[in-house]
Amino acid sequence: MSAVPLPPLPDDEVVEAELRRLLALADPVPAGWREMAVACGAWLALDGEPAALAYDSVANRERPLDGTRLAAVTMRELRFTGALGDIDLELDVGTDRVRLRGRLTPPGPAEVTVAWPTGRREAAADHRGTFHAEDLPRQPLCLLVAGEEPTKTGWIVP
Amino acid sequence: MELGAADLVVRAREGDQGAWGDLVDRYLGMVHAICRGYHLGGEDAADVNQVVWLRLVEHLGRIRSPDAIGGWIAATARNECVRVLRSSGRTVPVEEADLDGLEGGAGGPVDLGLLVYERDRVLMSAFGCLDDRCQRLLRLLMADPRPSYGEIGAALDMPVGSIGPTRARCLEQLRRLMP
Repeated sequence: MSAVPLPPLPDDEVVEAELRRLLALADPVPAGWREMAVACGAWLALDGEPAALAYDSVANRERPLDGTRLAAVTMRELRFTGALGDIDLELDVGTDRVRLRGRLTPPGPAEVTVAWPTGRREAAADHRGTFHAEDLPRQPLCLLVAGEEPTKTGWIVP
Repeated sequence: MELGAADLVVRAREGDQGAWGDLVDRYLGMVHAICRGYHLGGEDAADVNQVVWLRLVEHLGRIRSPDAIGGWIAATARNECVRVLRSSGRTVPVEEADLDGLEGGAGGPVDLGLLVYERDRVLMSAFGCLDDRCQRLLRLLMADPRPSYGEIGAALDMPVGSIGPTRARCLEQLRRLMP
């Protein structure tokens, strides 16, 4: 990976130093980028085994089975497959809010946590394995299903 | 003592949020430089930034060579930029060589209005006249902290051995554009 660059001419160094200064001044990393990037790390703190994305209704040929894609759709269905079964999700995406319905297979009650970069909410699954969460922020979402083997989904960008 | 990228990867995937923050600080400037090298700005660039980090957290547990994390981030950012350009119908790049001279994204050039001194404006105007490949390379070399040649190679899909000579050619081109 590493290669030793040719020693630069002094002139190059001067031009580069000026360019570095000007780009930092006139084209800095936008406000909010760091906060967004740091917030994505919240997923690491969810104590569960990642489930694999098995289906995404907005996947296409260019971007097969990728759960992290913005799309101009209002309804979206996804399936994640974990060690103990499936997590089926239906997202109803509004302008700035999201409604989520889910079903666990095999069915049964479980504690479900819906998380986004800056918050989380509990959404218990009933004896049929169904759960829902209303009025979620339109931000990247992921789920943690508690149980014998806690399972978490990847980030979904609604 | 400052930890290496590999140590940060190991700590971050164990849930160490501080290590994750350090990884972000190490590579955020590089991701920004890659976006701007593809002339992406505003929401397009913010989208690329978001997707890079969302995918990285999920990828951390699968990484076999934590040392190569910077190259992975660089390649992911590049692929996302190309995907955004493609999805907006601005271009359909196939190889890096085909990217030169293509219509840029919505980001536009650097805002010269932020520069007070005429000599600064002259240099930035000249920079904006460089071909896209040179702008991409120089932006990466100017990123803070400066990416390794391996990371720059991954970002530009360019052999590491070509970076030094290309840099020299681009700086020469820049000097010639200045009055």
